[in-house]
Parts: sequence; structure tokens; C-alpha cells
Amino acid sequence: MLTLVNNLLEQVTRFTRSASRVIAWVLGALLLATIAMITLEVFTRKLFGVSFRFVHEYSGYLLAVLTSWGLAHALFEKAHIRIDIGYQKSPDFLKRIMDMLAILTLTTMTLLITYYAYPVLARSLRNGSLSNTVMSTPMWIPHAIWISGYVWFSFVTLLLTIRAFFAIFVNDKAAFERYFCPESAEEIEY
Amino acid sequence: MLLFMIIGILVMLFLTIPVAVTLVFLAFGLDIFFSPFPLVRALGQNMWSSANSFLLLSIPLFVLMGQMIVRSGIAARAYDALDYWLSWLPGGLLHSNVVTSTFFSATSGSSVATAATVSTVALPQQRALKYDPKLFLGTIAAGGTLGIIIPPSINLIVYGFLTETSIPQLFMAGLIPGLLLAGLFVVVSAVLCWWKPELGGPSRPATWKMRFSSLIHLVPLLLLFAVIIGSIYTGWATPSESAAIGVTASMIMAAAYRKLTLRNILDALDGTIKTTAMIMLIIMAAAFLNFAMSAAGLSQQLTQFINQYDLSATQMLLMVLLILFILGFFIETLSLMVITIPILTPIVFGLGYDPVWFGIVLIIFVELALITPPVGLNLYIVQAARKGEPFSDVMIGVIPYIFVMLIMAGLLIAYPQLALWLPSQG
Amino acid sequence: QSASLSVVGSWSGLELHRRFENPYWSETLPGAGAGFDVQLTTHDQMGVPGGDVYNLLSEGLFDVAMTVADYAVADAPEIEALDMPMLSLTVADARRVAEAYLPIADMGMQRRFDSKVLAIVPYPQQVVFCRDPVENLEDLNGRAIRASGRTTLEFLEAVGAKALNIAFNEVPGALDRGVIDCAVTGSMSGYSSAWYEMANYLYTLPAGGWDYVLTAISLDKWNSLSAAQQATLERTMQEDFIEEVWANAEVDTQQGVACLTGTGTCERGEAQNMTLVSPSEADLATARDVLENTVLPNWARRVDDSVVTMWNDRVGTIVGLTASK
Ligand code: NA
Ligand code: NA
Repeated sequence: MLTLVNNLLEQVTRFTRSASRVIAWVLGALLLATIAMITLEVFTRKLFGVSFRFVHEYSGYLLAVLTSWGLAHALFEKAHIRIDIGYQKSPDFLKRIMDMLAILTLTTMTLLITYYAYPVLARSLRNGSLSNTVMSTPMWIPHAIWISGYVWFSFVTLLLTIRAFFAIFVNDKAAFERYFCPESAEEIEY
Repeated sequence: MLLFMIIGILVMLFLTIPVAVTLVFLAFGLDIFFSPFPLVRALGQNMWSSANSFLLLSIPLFVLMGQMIVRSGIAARAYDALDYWLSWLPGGLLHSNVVTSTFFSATSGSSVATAATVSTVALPQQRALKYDPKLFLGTIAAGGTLGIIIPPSINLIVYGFLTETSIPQLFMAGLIPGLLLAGLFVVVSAVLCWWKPELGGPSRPATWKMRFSSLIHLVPLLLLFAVIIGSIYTGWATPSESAAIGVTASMIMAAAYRKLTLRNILDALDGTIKTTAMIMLIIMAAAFLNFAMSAAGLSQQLTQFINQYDLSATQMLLMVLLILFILGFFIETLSLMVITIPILTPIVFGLGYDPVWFGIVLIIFVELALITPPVGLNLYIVQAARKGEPFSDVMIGVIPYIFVMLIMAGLLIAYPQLALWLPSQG
Repeated sequence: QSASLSVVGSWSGLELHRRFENPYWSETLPGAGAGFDVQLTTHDQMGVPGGDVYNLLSEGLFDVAMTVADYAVADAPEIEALDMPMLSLTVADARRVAEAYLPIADMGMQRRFDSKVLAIVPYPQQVVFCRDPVENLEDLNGRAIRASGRTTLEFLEAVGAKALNIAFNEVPGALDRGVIDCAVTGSMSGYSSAWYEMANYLYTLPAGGWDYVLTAISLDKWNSLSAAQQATLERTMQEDFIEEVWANAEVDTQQGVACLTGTGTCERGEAQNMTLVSPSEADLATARDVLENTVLPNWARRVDDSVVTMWNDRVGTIVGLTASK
């Protein structure tokens, strides 16, 4: 029974992982579009004195959105830095405890961020906030897209927490390797 | 409160709790135990305001540019060209390693990317030509650190963001110390190999024809540097805009080398989003911790704590640098910066030191952290590119360069103009 | 009983904070004998953007916040029409506008941020700092100009400039590299922040109004104070803060110009040699026209009819303008 649930969870987790990667590609495409826009803006501004003012403003929103929606992909790719001096020398059961602690604290933080991000959206909806620029963008739009990224990340971290507990129960070492052990330095690149 | 912070950091990091989470939890701790106000309620607003930043957009842009340069083969060609030019010196390829790192640094915002790139192009040569691995690896690991002192630099952008220091000025300030450091690396390698030739490898002659015809392969990197830095200083573009122009240029070059395939683009974007999300989470967490510390009055407490010792400005500076050096053994660089900047810079600025100058001194210590064990990312990056050989090779190989960096820091303290002269020419 | 107040002030480096906010909150109020215990910091020292300050106030992060009204207009259009370019040209007029506006601002702050307005005081009059020569309003056409606050941004757009909302502390760098050609701020603020090192021409068109700073206290805190404490706070605020800042506004505006351009005696430091360019009658007339036909109607469209009516009754009668959608 436990094994069955564990396998089901594994299917869901894999699907979520693929979805996170596709989301990352979409974010990347948005980034490419922004790069094209910024480059074009610099040239038209300097050569023809024409500037599209939305570029700077929307690029800022893009970074916020790119972060909130990209966090899940970073988690699946084990990009979030953990300092593993103590870890490497610890026996296996201690390593498992540390891995559990890492995912539990990450999940707690994510839920708190999502919970306290909501008032930002609520306020911009209630006040009909407009960005303090000539564009006067209704702020609820960027806020909503940004927060939904944290909602997605909350879902992913909760899923992985449950996944971790089940992996412990059925002693699924492979799953732990896949999702929770910190990557050795060779995989870190930035 | 200070003790609480220090113990909190150490315990959580030792338990391998992710760095960003550690910072946010510390802020929660300050909130619960030391602040009369519900600081956590500012979390959402704080996360939005620090992420909604055109300035920090340069982070994904520089990451993406590095990805494009490697995938287009530009880096490998540059290495071969510098091999022709420099291998006649005692130490042979050691100098190509350093100078390729220098060139690549001028287009890369990150040290790890620089070391990884140079490793992939240089290590096959080490095996083929039977170089003693130690210094060879040391030059790559140490040369790679130049990535964050020679502009552009993600770490200088983060420093500028957290301390509200002018980024174009920081970039200018890093250039001379960065080149000087590269020069010192070359000199030290040459002297060591002249003294003990077995530390290096064969000097390799090349004809002048080979040399000059190879120069063309350095053009893409120089062009990118000119585009990025030139667009900032001619007033065409802000640092973020210059990064966007750099990405555009690198993609055009990749297309020219017929490497702008869908696969390459997707892989590059994949890596960019992953890395950006990771770095941004740490920066946002650090910004929130910074907010919590000032709201809880930690900054004042720290100042009082330090004032009771009655140290001179120089003693204080040396103490700060000692703290950075020691922490640098154990903490990864970005984390090192975001943990220490909010605490240490107010003290240093309060003593009257120039923020631009201190940014460069700090960067030298961040570079040191990259090559000091046990946590030295560049060491691992270089080691990761090898198979079944001892890690101690790399660790021993960087030792001379650690001393060079400390000397460089001393030079900067003795002659601040090394950093400050160029920015003052604007 | 004693009441603790945590106060977040405006820009720590500027005169308003150093000479007025700081002494008032650190000495005057605690010394007034009503049992106030004050903790003072500023939004820039906390690393919080100006636009977030009132939001955090409404979240209960602190009790009193002082920040430029223009920074908060994203969330509260009611406070936007306090500070419009060309609305009031003299300190006396500016003060009458500020006093007349108080109930409108209070209504906005109560509705948006659950807080009560204690004071409205000005930074020195806003002027235009430019890198390159300016002779008249038409010269601003096509230039990239920094300003804070939507009404100023709209005003600059209407005269053909490219208006950008860049943070105050990023201006010197942006001017230096030519990312922007001009920037609008208070004369003394520009002097205190050494903008003269990057800009050579000082065009004294009041394109940015006065950059009023609102002091607001959260309603929760206000209601928790005793009647005596409320009275003391309001009285000392009026006598020892509001009056003093206004009395100083005239001096500061003149001093700012004098110190920046070396015309007249500079008592606040070393005189600089920016070129002083005064707006002509024609410039003022054109600018007033833009206010009346573009900026004011745009604002009226962003707020309720009742706010427009209130503005017309209280402020419009002073400045001789009528807002309509
Ligand atoms: Na670099
Ligand atoms: Na280290």
C-alpha cells in the first residue's frame, strides 16, 4: 500500500518537475523578448530620440515574476545553495535528517512568503493602485502574476515534503538522491 | 542579539539549511525575540520591492551571456590563440590559463562561470602535454576568480545594490586591480617555473604567422567587452541595459558560429532561470534580513559593541578583513557577501572609508573565499573537470595565488588610488 | 501612562530630517512631558523604498511615517493633487494650499492606509537641474528628465520631455553618464546631495511643485493615546515642527539657489557656480496652461467626484483653478 502511494507520488512529482522546466522555458522566452526590447529601446532612444517608457517598468516586474515562478525549477535542479561541510562527513541517517530539515524549513518559508505576499495584492486591488509612472499600470496585474508564482512554489514544496516523508517510510533511497541530497559542487554553475 | 545572530547563522548553516532560508529565519528570529513590531508582516512587500528591480535584471542577463559564449565555442578558440602568444614563457600554458581567464572575465559576470569555461578548454591540454597538475589547476582556479573583479561583475552589482554604491564607478574601480592581479599571477607563475621548471610544462614555440593569424579569435571577447563597458561609459546605456546589449551581441556571435540552435537556446535559458531564481532568493532574503536588523536596532547595537574597544580605523578595517577571510573558508561567496555586507559595511563606511574602494577590497576577499578550502567553489569546479585524481593537487596549486591576492589587498590599502583613480577620471 | 512611538522619517541626508524631524522627535516631543518615548529611524536607513512606507505603516510595522506624498500616489490618488507643478509659486501660497488640503489628504490616508495626517510640510521649492544649457521651457522638449510623482511626470511629458521616475539617490550617477539630461528636486535637496557636480544649469521653473512631506500616524496608535497625549502631540507638532519648517522654507529655497549658483550669499556651505536660468513670463503662462488643461483633468479622472468637489471648494478657490473630468 505504502509502496503504491509512493509510486503514485513519484509520478506526480515527475510531472511537476517537467511542468516546472517548461515554465522555466516560458520565462526564458519572456526574458529574450525583454532583452530584444531593451536593446531596441537603447538604439531608438539614442539614434531617434524615441523611447518606450514601459520597458524599464515592465522589466522590473519581469524579474520579480521570473524569480517567483522560477524557484520551483531551481529547487528541482538542486540549485538552492546549502553549505555542506557538516553534511559530507555525517552518517546516512543524519544526512536524511538534514535533508528533511532543509525541505521542511524551505516549505515553511515559502508558505510564509505566500501568506504575507497576499496583502500586497489585496491592497493593490482594494486601492485600485496605479504605478507611479506615466504608464499608470494597474498594479494588481503584476502583483497577481508574481504571487501566483509563489502559490505554485508552495504547491511544489508541499508536494516534495510529502514525497520526502514517503521516501523515508518506504526507504526509497533513489528518490532521496533525485530530489533531496545537496548536489556536489560540480553541478553548481552560475 | 549579536550572539543570537552568530549562533543562529552557524547552527542553521551547519545543518545544511539552504542559505536563503537561513537568512529569512534569522529575520524571523529577530522579529520574535527582539522587535516590538510584527516585522514578518513586511515580508511580502519587501520581497516584491527588492525583486521588482531593473538594476538586478542584469543578473539573468549576465548569466545568459556566459551561457552563450561557452556554447558558441568562442572561449575554446580564444584559449588556443593565447597559447600561441604566451607559451614561450617559463611555465608555458600556465600563462594562457591566466590570460584566457582575464579575457573571459571581461565579458563574464561570474568567477565560477569563468573557471568552468577555462577548465573545459584547458584541461585536455594539461593531460596531452603532461603538465604537473598542481600549478596548472591553481592558475585556472585563481584566474577564474578574476571574473568578479574585472567588469562586468554580478558580485559588484549585488554590492552596489545592497550598499547603494554607483555600479559604473565600481566597475571602473575593479579594472586596474583586476588587471594588476592578472599580471601578478603571470609574474608569480613565471618566477616559480623559472626557479623549478618541473612545476610547469614545456615552453612551446609558435611562429609569428600563427600568432597573428590567431588574433582574430580574441576579437569576439574584446568586442563583447567593448560593447558592454563602452555602452555604459558613453552614456548610451545603464548597467542593466548594457548587459541586454551584450546578450544580443553574444547571440549574434553564436549565430555567426552556427551555434544558435534551439537546443542550445533552451539549455541556456534553462540554466539562466535556475541560477537567477537561486541568486534572487538569496538577495531578497538578505534584503529582508537587512530590514529586520535595522528595524530591531541591531546596527546601533553593533556600533556600540565595536566602539567599546576603542580601535583605530586601520585596526578596525583589519579586523573586518580578518572576519571576511575566516568566513571565506567556510561560506560560499554570494552568501558571504549578503551575510556580511549589511553588518560590516555600515562600520567601515562609518570609519570614513570610501564605499567604492571598499567594494573592491571586499571583492578580493570574496575571490579568496572562492579558492580557500573547505568551501571554495572554484576548487571544486576545477576538480570536477578531472577524473580520479587527488583533490589536494588543486588545493596545493592555489596556495601561491592566495598569497598574491593578500598582497593585492595590502596594495589596495596602501594605495587606494589603484581602485579610485580610474573612476575619478569620468 | 507612557506611550512608545516608533517613527520613520524622510530621507536621512536632507535638511528636513536633520534640522527638523530629528530634533522634534528626539528632543522636543519626549521632553514635552506627556510621556512619549520615541524611536526614530528613516526609510532609507531601513532599506525601504519611499513608496512602501505608508503601506508598511498600515501593516502596523511602525506608528508614525513621514514621507514625500508623491511617493505614495500609486496607492492613494487623493493625495496627488496636493503637489502639482505650478500650483503655487510662493511660499505663502504653498502654505495656504497645504492647509486647505489637509482634510482631503486625511480622508485619503484614512481610506487607503488606516492612518491620520498630522502634518504637511514642504521641501524647498522644486527646480530643474540640467547638464546642458537651458534657456526656456521649449528647451526641455526631447530631454530625458527625472521626476518623482505622477503629476510632475505628466507635466514634463506634456511639454515634450521624456519623464522618468528614477530614485533620488540614483540621480547623480544617471546624470553623470547622460542617462538623463535633467532632474527635478528641491533646490536645497539638490545642493545637499551635490547634484551640482553633475549638472551645470539650474532652471527655476517650479516644475515639481513643493514635494510635500506628509506625517501620518496609524489610527490604531492614535486611538490608543490619551486625550492629553493627542493634544500634546498635535500642539507641539504645530508649534515646534510645522511652523518652523514653513518659516524655513522661504529661506531654504533662496539659500538653495544662492548656494548652487553663487548668486547671493550662501550660508549653508560653499557656493557653487551653476548657471541660473529664470523662467520667463511666457514660460510660466505656458506651464500654467499645461497644468490646467492636461495635468489637472487627468488627476480628476483618477479620483471620485466627491474628491474633485472638495478640491475645487478648498484649493481651487485659492489658486484660481477648477478641476473637472
Ligand atoms: Na567580469
Ligand atoms: Na572558501
